[in-house]
Amino acid sequence: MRLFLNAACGTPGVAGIVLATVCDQMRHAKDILDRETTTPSFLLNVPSIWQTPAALGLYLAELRRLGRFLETLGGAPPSTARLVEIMDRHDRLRANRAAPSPSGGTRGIPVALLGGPLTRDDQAIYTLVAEYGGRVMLDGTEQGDRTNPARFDRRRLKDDPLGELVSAYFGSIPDVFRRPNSELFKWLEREVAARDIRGVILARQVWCDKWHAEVHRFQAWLKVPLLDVDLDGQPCGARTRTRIQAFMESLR
Amino acid sequence: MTEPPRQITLAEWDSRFEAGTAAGWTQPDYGGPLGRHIEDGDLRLSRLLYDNSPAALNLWNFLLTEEVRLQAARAKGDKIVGAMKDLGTVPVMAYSLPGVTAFYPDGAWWTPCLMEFSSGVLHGADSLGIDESFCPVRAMLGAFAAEKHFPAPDLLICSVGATCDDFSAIAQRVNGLGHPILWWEIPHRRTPAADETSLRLPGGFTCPLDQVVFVQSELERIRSSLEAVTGHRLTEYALRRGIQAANRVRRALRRLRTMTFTARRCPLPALELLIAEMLAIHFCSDRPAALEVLTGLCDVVQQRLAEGQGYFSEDAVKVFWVNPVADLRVMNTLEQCGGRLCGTDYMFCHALDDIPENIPPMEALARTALADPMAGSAIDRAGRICRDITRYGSEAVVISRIPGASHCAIEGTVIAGVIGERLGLPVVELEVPPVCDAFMPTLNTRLGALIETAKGRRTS
Repeated sequence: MRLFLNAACGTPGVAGIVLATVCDQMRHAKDILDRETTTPSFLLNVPSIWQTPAALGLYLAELRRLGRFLETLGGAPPSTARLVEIMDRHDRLRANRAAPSPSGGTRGIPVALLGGPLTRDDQAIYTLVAEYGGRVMLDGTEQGDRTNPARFDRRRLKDDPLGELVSAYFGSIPDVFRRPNSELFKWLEREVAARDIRGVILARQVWCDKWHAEVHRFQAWLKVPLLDVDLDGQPCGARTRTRIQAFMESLR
Repeated sequence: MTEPPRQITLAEWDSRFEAGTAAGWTQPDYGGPLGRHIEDGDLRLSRLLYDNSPAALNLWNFLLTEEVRLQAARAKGDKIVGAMKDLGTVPVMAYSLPGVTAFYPDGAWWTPCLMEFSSGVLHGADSLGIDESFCPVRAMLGAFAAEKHFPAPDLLICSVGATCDDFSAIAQRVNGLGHPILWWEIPHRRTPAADETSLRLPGGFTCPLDQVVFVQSELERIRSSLEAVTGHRLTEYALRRGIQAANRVRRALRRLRTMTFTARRCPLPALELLIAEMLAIHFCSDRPAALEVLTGLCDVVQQRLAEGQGYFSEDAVKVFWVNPVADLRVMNTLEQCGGRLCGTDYMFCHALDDIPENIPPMEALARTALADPMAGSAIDRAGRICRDITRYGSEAVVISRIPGASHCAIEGTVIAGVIGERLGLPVVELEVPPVCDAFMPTLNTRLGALIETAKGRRTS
């Protein structure tokens, strides 16, 4: 959160900052922005519950509100046709994207990387995994496979693009903040089995309670070993390196 | 003339109880000598100082016998509803139905303090991977795992959304232990846009109409679940009656707070006032008895005011306290350092405000839920704190951090900043662990410095 705020406020040309309520510290970070900066910021209410039409409705209303915020920054609302075109393009890009090239090439022990957002420094984990004989075959971090939305339904895309957007994103991405978060466990179980994953590395920011709290459950749930790596905003140090090294060694 | 108010030890209370009983004191069914709770493991009681009124004894006995009431309710065949996190709204609905007893499993967060770590609940949480980097509410997980600090609820209802991550994460782990939970959402309360219908909430916050409508729909789900579990319809009439009864408790508490905070000399110590406030959240599992306890305290305070009696010297510094303390002993410490309590925000101000009675009850409850100071921005919360400080004439502010709590990472700085800008009052932040004996020198020093600063400002 601190890194995000520093980056958002310290990057020239940032016209607006968007935060989401999926993390309580991010929610409270809005207060810091409101008090300390003149850059407009927006807090998107992303419901934790997901099994009711009302939650879906709230998310849709929030997207519309976000749209209005972006308009205040100079954006123009897209026509329906334009929105459909953009969504379609991104949907095809995602579908046509080759299966993620595993870090570590085609050899190495297949592992999954799981967790929330990774900073640029944290990306070193991919290299470390490869260096110690592994390859990340499943990226369950915030920027990985896990957060890909579902494919758009072609018919609904044309009839109600915003509704389809909500359905594809809010309705399909498994995450730890969801209540209940059972879909994350189901997704993990399915993907680990499908990709012959031999070990899971959970990389979490040290003060992220939601990922931290689930470590124990992941360990009980998974049929493969799990390594819990806490990250503290600093470049991966000797401790993280040694833990990953030992973990990969134990999977051989 | 009644007996002058005096803070006494547990041992003194037991002697006093013996003498009082011999002199004909009557006791409620939960009454008895305070010292008996030590045998139940509430070891912390021997380190506290207590108000010497029989009404205060009733307060403590009422608080410390909640588990007995819950077990009795279960034995009687009542449905037990465990409400989690919303602090004040769901119990109003639950108690509107016959044969229901509601409580907050969250209350287990004081168990490590009261039992001075002897309960094993934190060890239980540790063993489930929820270590001390989480808020002390992790004791709740240990309590659920131990299955001995409260009966297993027939229905568990937990609010999520604009709540702290610790609680949400720990509640999910409770769910993982096999306890089904009805999750309901309280969205982050936001300022209405210019083109939105704005509604005023109890306590003075505002929010868009859409948020009230959404929360009302969430409460409808809770109503359905309560009806399914109890087999009774939760009618509008029953809800209105429930709201009226809850408001009677809230008004009694408000009267107690106002009398105490505005008195020339402090008529009731901080510790008893803290416990009294807790009764408003879920009535400590017996709504009529909670009202009796609060009324008894009001009577004592009123009499002390009438007789010009009070605690401490008149120049005790009026302190506003933000957030509840994990260790009750700190409330004694404030007074030992020369302060007195004059205003509080223990994170549940919405449980102290009247629930509107002139609008449909479900809408009234939705507005109350959204008035939760923790559901909105810390800037809004600080605004309310500033209003209360002005009302009560507080001279200094303590922001009590809860170890590990996600909201405490930022809110203290924000609240202190707003108070400083608007009122220029001295503010200190303290971190209070469940048993703070080892931190006493630091806490004393920091509180002492705050009191000294506030006194210095009087003459400058």
